[in-house]
Amino acid sequence: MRELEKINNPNHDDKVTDACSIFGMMDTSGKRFSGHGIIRAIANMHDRGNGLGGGFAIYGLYPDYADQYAFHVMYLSREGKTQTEAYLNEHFNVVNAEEIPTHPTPKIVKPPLVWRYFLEVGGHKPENQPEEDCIVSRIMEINTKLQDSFVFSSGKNMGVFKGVGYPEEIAEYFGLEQYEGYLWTAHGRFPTNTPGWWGGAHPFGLLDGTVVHNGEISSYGINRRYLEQFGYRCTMQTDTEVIAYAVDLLMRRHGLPVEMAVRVLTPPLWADIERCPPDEQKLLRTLRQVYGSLLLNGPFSIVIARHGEMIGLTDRIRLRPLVVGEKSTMLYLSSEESAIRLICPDLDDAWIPAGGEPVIGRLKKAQPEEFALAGGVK
Amino acid sequence: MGVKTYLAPKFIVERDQARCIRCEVCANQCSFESHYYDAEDNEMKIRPGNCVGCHRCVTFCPTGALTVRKNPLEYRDNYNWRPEYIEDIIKQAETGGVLLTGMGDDKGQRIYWDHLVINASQVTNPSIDPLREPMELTTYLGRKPDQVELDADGNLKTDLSGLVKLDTPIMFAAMSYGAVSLNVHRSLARAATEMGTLWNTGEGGLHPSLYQYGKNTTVQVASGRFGVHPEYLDAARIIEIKIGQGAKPGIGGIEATRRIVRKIPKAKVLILAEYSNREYIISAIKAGAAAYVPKKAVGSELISAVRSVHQAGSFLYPSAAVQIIKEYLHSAEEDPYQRLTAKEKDILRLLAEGHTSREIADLLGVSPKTVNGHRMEIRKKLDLSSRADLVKYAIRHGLVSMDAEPLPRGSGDA
Repeated sequence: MRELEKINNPNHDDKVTDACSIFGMMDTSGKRFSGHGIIRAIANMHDRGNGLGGGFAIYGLYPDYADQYAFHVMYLSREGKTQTEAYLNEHFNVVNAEEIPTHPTPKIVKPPLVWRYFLEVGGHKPENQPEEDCIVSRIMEINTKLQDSFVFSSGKNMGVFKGVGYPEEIAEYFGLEQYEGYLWTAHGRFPTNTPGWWGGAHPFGLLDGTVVHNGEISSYGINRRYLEQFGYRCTMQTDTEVIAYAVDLLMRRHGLPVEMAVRVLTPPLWADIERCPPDEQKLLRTLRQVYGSLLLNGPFSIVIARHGEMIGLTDRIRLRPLVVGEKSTMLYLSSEESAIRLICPDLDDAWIPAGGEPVIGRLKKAQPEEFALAGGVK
Repeated sequence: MGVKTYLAPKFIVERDQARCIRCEVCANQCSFESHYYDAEDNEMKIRPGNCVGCHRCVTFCPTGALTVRKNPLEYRDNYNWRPEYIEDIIKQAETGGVLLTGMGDDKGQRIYWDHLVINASQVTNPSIDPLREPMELTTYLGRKPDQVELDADGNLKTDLSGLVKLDTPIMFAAMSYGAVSLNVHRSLARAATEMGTLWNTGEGGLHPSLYQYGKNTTVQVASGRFGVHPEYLDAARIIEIKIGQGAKPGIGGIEATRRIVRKIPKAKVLILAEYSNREYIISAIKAGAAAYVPKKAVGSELISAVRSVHQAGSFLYPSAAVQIIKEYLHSAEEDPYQRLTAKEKDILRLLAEGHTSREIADLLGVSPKTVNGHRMEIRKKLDLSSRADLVKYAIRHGLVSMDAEPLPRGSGDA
């Protein structure tokens, strides 16, 4: 056993620091599929987690409420529910509200109350604020001011399901096999710094952007301080939260194209920027000068998802694993290749992308052969 | 010599009287007047408390009659009230001065600057991974917009070429010319250029020889506005506007005038002085002052003085002009005072004001031995023997006023 230690743990670290499992799969034709495959895949990476967090994000799962914002809210007390529902009724039109159906299982212990609300802003929108900014403000208010309640999913026609438990246990608890979506992401947690609690599981999301993350954002402090200037409040006690808000700020509010937003999160080194052609130099330098505080330090592999897009990204020196698989219109992203092979043994292609280079899957418009994929080294 | 001190002497000088041949070398060599010849007893004697342990008399004594020992006083043990703290408090209370050390901390404590670890983790966790992440120190100073602007084709519109690039996120703090020397400024400018960062001139102005380092220079505009003019502002990379300023100790008066005018010919020094006496005015003019205004005339004359200096290069309050004319007419007269050099005149005045040789040495930035050398010259030229005679001479010639306030005494680490 000592020899194994030398190979696996050469620094004799007391704690395992590089765990967490992530997985994403997308049908770029837009066809919806069940969660069966992804649940098997994430369960395959069971040992990367320790049961203190698991979660899924599903896109396209509420076709009957496609135009409403689907809020998933967890309540740690009854008072929280009362307060929050009063708040929601005051600031939104509540089209429908129900407890998210669950199948109690002994593996999920002391779950909070989890409800979903389908909301419209309608006449409640303030004059000078775009609708989505208004919703983000409301969410920040609920998460900071109202006690014991956390909005952890808030996009249209998509939803996050998560909690304390292995991902396959969470899937069983929420009955995720019955849902269908064209884009799924999943996560198994191994917390290294912060407590395992229901709100701390991944995915983290704001509106329709979600993030699952393997690694540690050591720049959390400065990222969070920068994001606070724009009204984002970090309440989930987990470093991954800043990635979700950074994505919201860069891609939604500031409208940066994905390739540029990624260059903010994982910019090239200054010395490498000097070697680029002049126009590119100016762009990369300006991005770093303006958004320097959103640079993500620390090992990470992430899968970012939004309606119509799935993005896989690692840190610049690729300290955490990410594998890409393609088969026909399906795109897979995974911490480990075995998880992909389990549900799709005969991939057309499989590769590992370079550090800091994004892999972007997009919904195709017309031609079936067109794969809108960027980046990656085969 | 002066007020009694409550600090016991640090050193005891011992003389073997059997060996002593009363050659007085020790008295001549000692800058601190530890030794003297007592004619009545025909003996060399010691003034206790003056010795600083330099051992000059020991090495010069031809018969090896002298030795210097530490004064072995005992204190009550107390971890908080240690002897050095007790003595420092007494020194500071007696002199009112600030105890300084050159060359940094003299207590052998850890130099924290040498033990800094710069951690790339941006104030959360240290890098946890055995493969350490790249840490880049490049920093850009200047205002940045909230977001990047793109044109219709998705190309970059924002232009941030005006930002200042630092290769390291450490800059030199402002230390003004006058608080530090020109050589210090030169060193900072060169170091900043080599390290790819910026240094700060402080409010004392920027010497022309340093304009070549302008790309790495921050110039300051403070309430005093010393040396602020267009070339000064154009020479620099950053202009820093400073609001609020505290006073600092240092030399002043005629010696400062002499040094400033020598180094910065363009600087015009206007002296506001308590004294209206002839010798002081003449010393000031000879040191290079452009103008002289007695304090009693500040209300009425100061503004015209400044204007006059700016336009014509000088200004003299009428009574001062009279003194200068007298001086000119008298310059042919044989006046032993005129045989003194400028430095000697300063030292004479300082002695008459009651400063010790040590203090004069501190104020003028020379060694006590030099001061004593000058003293001997003064004594010879003016044919005066004792300190009291010097004071009387100084008062008679108007070098000090009977009513003048005693000047604040600085205190070195004796």
